[in-house]
Amino acid sequence: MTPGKIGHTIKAGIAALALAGCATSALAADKVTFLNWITAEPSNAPVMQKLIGDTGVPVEVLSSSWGDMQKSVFLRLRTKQPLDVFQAQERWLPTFAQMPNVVDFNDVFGKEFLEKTFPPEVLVTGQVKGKQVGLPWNVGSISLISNTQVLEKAGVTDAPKTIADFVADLEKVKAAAPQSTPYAMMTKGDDLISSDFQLWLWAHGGSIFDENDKPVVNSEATVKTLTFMKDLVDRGLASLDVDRGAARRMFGQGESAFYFDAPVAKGFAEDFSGKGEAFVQYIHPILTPVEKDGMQSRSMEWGHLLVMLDTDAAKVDGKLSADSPSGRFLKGLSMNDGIQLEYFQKLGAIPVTLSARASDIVTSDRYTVEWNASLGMPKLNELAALKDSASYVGVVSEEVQSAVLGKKDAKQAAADMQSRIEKLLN
Amino acid sequence: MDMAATTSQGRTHRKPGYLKRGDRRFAYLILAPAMAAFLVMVAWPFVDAMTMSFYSYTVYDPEPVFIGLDNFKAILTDPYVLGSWVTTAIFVAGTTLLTMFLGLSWALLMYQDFKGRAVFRTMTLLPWILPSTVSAFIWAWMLNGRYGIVNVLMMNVGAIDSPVQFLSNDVGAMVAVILTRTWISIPLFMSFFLAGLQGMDFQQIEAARIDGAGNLRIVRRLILPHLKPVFLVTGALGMIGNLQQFDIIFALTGGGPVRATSVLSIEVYKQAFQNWSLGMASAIGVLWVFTLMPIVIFYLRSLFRED
Repeated sequence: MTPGKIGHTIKAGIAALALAGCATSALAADKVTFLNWITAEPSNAPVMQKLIGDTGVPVEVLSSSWGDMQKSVFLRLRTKQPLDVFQAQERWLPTFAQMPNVVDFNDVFGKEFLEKTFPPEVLVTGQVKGKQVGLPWNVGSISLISNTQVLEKAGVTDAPKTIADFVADLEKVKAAAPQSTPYAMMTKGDDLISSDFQLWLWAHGGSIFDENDKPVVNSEATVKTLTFMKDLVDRGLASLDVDRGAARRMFGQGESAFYFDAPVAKGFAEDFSGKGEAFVQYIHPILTPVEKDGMQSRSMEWGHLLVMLDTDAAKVDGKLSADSPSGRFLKGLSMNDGIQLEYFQKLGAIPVTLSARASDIVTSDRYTVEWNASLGMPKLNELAALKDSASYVGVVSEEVQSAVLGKKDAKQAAADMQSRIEKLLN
Repeated sequence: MDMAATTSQGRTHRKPGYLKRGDRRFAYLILAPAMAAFLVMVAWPFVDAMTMSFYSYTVYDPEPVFIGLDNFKAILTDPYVLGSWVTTAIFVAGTTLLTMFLGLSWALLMYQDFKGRAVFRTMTLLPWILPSTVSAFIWAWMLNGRYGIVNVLMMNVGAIDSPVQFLSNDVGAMVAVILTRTWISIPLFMSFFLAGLQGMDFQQIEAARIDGAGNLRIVRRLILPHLKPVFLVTGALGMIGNLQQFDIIFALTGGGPVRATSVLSIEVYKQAFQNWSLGMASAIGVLWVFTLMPIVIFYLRSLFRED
């Protein structure tokens, strides 16, 4: 081959590669790459796959477990792998919002349209510093749920109002079934431990930060909360090594009477009970018991949101558009009442649009009505909005575990929690 | 300076390791792929991590910010992070010593002539063949506080009254990770010791027996001195491998409870993928390399000395 021919061959090769690159990019833009954790959950995957299909948009579905979700998103973005839309927990949003390429949905769908479509308390879960970076998908709360089948066997008929009532009920369950773990308290996983701790801290009248964002966790309420949590474990009323997955299984299989979860608890309980939808009659969300009668019961604000990235799939003619593949896909999942109601009926996910929430299917559903009554005064996870939130979650979780395992007394753990949080803030 | 030396008789000898120019070129050529791989896979990431350790860089920072030695200062003044070195030392010492002891014991057994020895030797390799994460999950199931077989067996023989949460207390969790790592490493150590034993003069042992030496004396006076070089190599390799251990600990305990099994590799992971602090993770990584360095130097020196 002459040098001239070699040169032509190289040029032709480069041209072919360039064309192939363009073709791949064009194909990629037609297909939305969607990373989520629902399809990683065997109980929920078939339903979610169908709902994704119902949007009518070609989607490449990527699954990651809930615990690995943040890492998966960051690693995909850092390594420049395709990602157009991903699922996010409401408390991760402040971190995700700091990334480049995250779309403000007001620029895609228009602020007015979003306000007409979603109730304000739902829309606000996806807002960070005035930007709508999360599109509501499934918004509810973390509330206490009870298994009345287990409770009735133990002779408990009324929901506990105070923490003392709650403990008394746990004792009755333990007496009726000594091998049971009456309350599946989260004792494994930093996020989960810090979440359960906050719910009981609020029930004891305390908080991690005051209204001026100053840490006030070295308090009598914290000491009472940690003592209460340790006491439950020491007496076998709660157990070590329990995370949400274990708790859902224990609750569905009648080993536990109470645990904290989101509305999707229904789907897991039905699945793990082996009884399917017939089991829902035993699942009852209740108000979180409080230290003293008359105190405000609280749940934790919770939501699954959808985040859209400024990629080719988000654009039409180079501009962000609701008619782009990503836009149509998100509209389908989040705003199509048929899909929202099917998600609700099959997995207990409370719909997010005004119209779906007003549907008879929702308003006449006993579980949802009870769930709404269980909210009390919902409060945002206190550690969620902090920059470097994971460090604070780690500190709180470690100190709670230290107290529960008896490595530190409750007073020391509360004092250390305060000083370590102050150090992180500085 | 010319690599050739001239003797008093005028004869020219090449120094050991000296190659002719053509041979040298060929040597560089065949070395090139390995060098390229080393530069890309080892040297460049290490230099990158070294550089990153002087920066504050989280995943949501647009650009890294140079902070000098601040990451190192933060590590050296944080008792929780410093505790990882103590945890690592306990894990490495416990695992290496236990694996050497059990690996040697098993090698001595497999050295004996008995029916089915070949089958036993092959089966011994099973833990080594299994992916370590799979082994870790098997052990996690066996040690589970609610339905683990260890609890069931101990309750059946009356050793305990109620299930023990092995992985949820400091000592239990550390023992679990040491046992799991040991179980996986025994086949490799056994192979080293068995190879060493097979290089022994069996007549020496026979002669010692005729002179009235018992098993323990034979092990102490003949076998252990003979295996000294093997001890040095397995000890160094074991410590290096255990210092780098991550997957078993992560799958079994995740570094918990309350950092009880949070060795250096887990600390790096937490800083990088939970706290998203790549600068801090790199700084711990750099200190981790310096912790490994003396053992690696010792190992390499003993290798070169043998050559």
